[in-house]
Amino acid sequence: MPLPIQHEYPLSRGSLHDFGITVDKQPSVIEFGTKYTKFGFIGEPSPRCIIPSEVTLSDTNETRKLFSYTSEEDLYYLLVELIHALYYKFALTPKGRRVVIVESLLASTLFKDTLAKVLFDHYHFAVVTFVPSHLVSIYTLAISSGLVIDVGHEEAVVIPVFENFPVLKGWQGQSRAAKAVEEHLKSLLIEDVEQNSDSEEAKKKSIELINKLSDSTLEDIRVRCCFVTTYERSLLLAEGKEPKPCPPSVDYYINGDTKLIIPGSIREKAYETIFQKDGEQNSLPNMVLDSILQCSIDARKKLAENLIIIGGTSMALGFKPRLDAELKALIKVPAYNDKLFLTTFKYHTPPTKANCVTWLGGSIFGATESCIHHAVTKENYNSQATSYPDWSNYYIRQMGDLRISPEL
Amino acid sequence: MELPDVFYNKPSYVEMASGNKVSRQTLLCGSQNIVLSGKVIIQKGAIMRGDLANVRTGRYCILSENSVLRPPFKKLTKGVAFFPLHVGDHVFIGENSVVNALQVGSCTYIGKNCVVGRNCVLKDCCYVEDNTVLAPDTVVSSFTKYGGSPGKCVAELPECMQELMTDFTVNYYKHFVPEKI
Amino acid sequence: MALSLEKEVVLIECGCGCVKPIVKLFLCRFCMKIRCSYCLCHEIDCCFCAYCTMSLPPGEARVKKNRCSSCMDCPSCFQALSLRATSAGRGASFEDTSGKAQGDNAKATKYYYFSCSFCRWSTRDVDLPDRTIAIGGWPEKEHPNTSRITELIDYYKAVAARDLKDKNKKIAPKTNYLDMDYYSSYIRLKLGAHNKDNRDDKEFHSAKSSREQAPRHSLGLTQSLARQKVGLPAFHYARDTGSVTVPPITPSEANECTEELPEDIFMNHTDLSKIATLPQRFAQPEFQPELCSDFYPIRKILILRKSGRCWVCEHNVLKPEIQPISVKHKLNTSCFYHMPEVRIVSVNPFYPGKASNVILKFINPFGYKTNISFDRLESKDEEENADVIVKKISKYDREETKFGRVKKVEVTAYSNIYNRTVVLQPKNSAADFDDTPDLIPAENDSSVDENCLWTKNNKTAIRIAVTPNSDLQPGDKVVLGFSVIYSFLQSNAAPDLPAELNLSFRIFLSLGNIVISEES
Repeated sequence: MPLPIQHEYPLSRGSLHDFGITVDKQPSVIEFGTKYTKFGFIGEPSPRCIIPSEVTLSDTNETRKLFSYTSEEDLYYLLVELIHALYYKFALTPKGRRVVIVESLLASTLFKDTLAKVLFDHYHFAVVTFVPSHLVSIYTLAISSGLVIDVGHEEAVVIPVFENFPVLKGWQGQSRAAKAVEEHLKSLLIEDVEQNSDSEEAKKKSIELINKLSDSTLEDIRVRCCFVTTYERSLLLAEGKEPKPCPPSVDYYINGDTKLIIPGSIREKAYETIFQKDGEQNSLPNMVLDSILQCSIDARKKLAENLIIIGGTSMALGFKPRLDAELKALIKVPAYNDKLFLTTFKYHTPPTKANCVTWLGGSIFGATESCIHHAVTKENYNSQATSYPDWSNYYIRQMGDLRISPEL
Repeated sequence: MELPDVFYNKPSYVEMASGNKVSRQTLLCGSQNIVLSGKVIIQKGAIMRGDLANVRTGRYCILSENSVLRPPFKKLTKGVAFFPLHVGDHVFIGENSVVNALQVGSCTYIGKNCVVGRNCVLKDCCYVEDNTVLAPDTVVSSFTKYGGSPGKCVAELPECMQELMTDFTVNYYKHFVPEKI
Repeated sequence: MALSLEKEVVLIECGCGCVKPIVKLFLCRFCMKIRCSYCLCHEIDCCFCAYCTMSLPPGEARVKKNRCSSCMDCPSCFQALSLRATSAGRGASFEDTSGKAQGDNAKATKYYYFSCSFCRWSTRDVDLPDRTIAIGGWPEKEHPNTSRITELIDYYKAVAARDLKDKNKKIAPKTNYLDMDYYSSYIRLKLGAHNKDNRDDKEFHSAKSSREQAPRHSLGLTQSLARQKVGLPAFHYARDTGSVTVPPITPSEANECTEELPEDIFMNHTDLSKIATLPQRFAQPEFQPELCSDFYPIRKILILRKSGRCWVCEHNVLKPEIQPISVKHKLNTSCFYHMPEVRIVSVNPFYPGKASNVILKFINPFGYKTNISFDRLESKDEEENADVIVKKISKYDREETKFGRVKKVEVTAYSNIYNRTVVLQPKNSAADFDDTPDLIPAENDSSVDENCLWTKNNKTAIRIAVTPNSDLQPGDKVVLGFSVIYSFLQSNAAPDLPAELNLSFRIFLSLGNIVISEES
């Protein structure tokens, strides 16, 4: 005899209470990026604030990056501080609130578990939904399939999404993103100084100056001075030639007084680290094609004609045309031309800036009923108490589904 | 931490009946326009420009060495006018700071080497960190801490700031003692 | 600098496990537990603009995105923009009025524009026309794609509602938009066995079929079920028998890349002063201007005046007065007023394993005599006793809130302070302002400890010997920790509660570092 529905879905007062609260309070969407954290409210077109993912510790006045954590306990502490800063700024009470966390499918389990612990145990959030960033990106476009190319700070991750399923088999991830560009930029600057200094003393001084450049200054040089050069010029650069005309150099002032000359050749070379192949034939264009190659043959054309480029680093000048030219050239290379029969690559234009696309996806998804449906409530979390359910968690997988409560 | 004693050279200070302790090596221009309400300490090298407009300080104000209190001016259609500068009770102004504000509220702390720009308004219970430059017309609201150049709100202050500053200025006054000979 | 804000040398453990200086802590008068800003519920009491002190009710402020409608910040240096008035206007509004200028040329019209007095940026730099009215009237810039995003949200809301309804009807839905249960089981299997394609598909199908038999709402509970449980009418989509109408939407169209790197980048000189920095871009997250010519004045963010409630019993611990300019509070249970303050007066140099003298000062904030005693941090009995007290006085049988652990303070020294008692005289606010000499020796009073150095009004200084752990290296931090037990008198206690209580808190003192000595 089938049981009445009430027994099938036990519901205690606690969770109802939580739901009651969440209806009144505007739920928030947070994306913890390696460099910047975006915070805002569900259903809004843009985040309320984009702040560096870092915390200034009150006792030592030291600024620490969120992802510089050394242990779980350390991360817990940093997250407590960062979330407090976000919520205190907007005078929101985390307790009883609903939150949507936009995270990469490849985010570390330690980070996710610790974040869940902070949200539930420390801040008493009522309902938390983790949404995969690549999947929600396509919700900003109202399409169901696409190849999401996310070029962030730490790494570039390509994940195909087919009929609303992220095809994890086709994922590609490499540290070819802003951080690599900035490191490359620094080494290029040092190299330039070593070759072109007049005196030994000036050389020493300049190298010292470059080594002392803070991360934010390097980032500023990258964003404001550097650009992605054209495919034709990059071929010459790869051979070690200097294409003509050389872009003009830029005088960069550090703190308004110390002058640093950024030579034109460095301005166009800095981003090459994303596109140039290393010994193992790896580069961003290769990642895109490899990812398509991993997917089933029927999906390939559709994916190639639905490319979505997101992430802050992709906002660099000339990024999109370069990637397009690289892809068109690479498809003719023997490694791909007999496997992939693609002729065109088409790109989507998301309705917001590339660095906020994933956040906007979370904001759109968070506004739907489905989001609550996929959420984990505090009660469920407490009854489980091992870790947050995740696709990579063997224990949860053993249970055959993503269910949390033993009685369900 | 408990405040250490600050010693001063007794002959070089004027002690008034109201408890004000004013160094002889200060520049008080237009002294008829300067009002010190009592228990005010003005240390060596401080400058108060009473000749521009009235300057009034509340009780338990501390002007450290080489600080400057200067009434601000505003550009009007017909020339320039100076406005009186009011400083509240329990205010600390650090060394080498220049205060050009319209109003400095009670229980306010201004650190060392600060520049408080023209026509700034510092509300009650606020805090300006050392080496801050406040842009002209900045309004520093209560229970905020400003720092940097240009000055920005860097933190919030605890709600008991009033008691903290009262305690601090009263203790400072108590520990401001003549050198033992 | 001795203002207790500067250096955090004396830290107290909060009920949530954080350690904070005394000024940042509150004592909940009902559960008698220490609370900090991390474990309080914050409520917005009023929102106001720091610049014009105009206050808005919180609801209205939320609609306006917590921004003032008349005051602006500079988009270049983030300082407040000041309003400038001139008689010669520029831009559109100037042209508008020039037509009818003949009619009322007797009355000179004033023109207003914003200018930053720090970096000299002005609205004229970006060719914004001057205004003829002083306050307000600056048009708000919206996100360029607001209507498209609203369309998307409506579309996906309807899709989700339809999916949910289909599920409720126990009919396998055709399209599973937003169905992460399926995708997650799918990707799990794909990832788990990506080399064995055949088995993979089999597994996926079996998982899929078992999934269909299983209860659908395995992840949390839906609102509609919650409503069913309490007998509320279900949502409209669950009730009506027709299908949910999904509004039509035009999917985004992909295009071939037509963008090109501007040719002139290889020729023209780049002027950095015309390219916005990242903080400038992020200050306007809606548009993120890349060029300085796209700057637009930023509306000033309102300042929030918050009140705080205890997280557990939901009683107020902090309530400011309503006027935005007032610094007074209707209620402020800061620990600064509710527990004896401990200050470090002087410390002697520290050597590992050797006792050094430290002078501590205790200040009584109460209007009555207080006894304080000290105990070890590890003391189990004391903790149990404290729990009993809490249970006795908290008649609110709410869930005792569980807090996660936060970074622990490492104690690296011990002292002879334990099991000692100190009596603090009541506070007399008038006495603070009199000029009686300091340092009244308390030697002749036999009842007090010999290490009690002096007593003045409500303040008492004692000397303790602190011995750093012998395994410390030169330069290491010396941290002393102990718990303080003090008597607390409930002034307006409920009749069933005891009037006098013994409360305790755990305190950590950073006394300094081990001396880096030359001889050793």
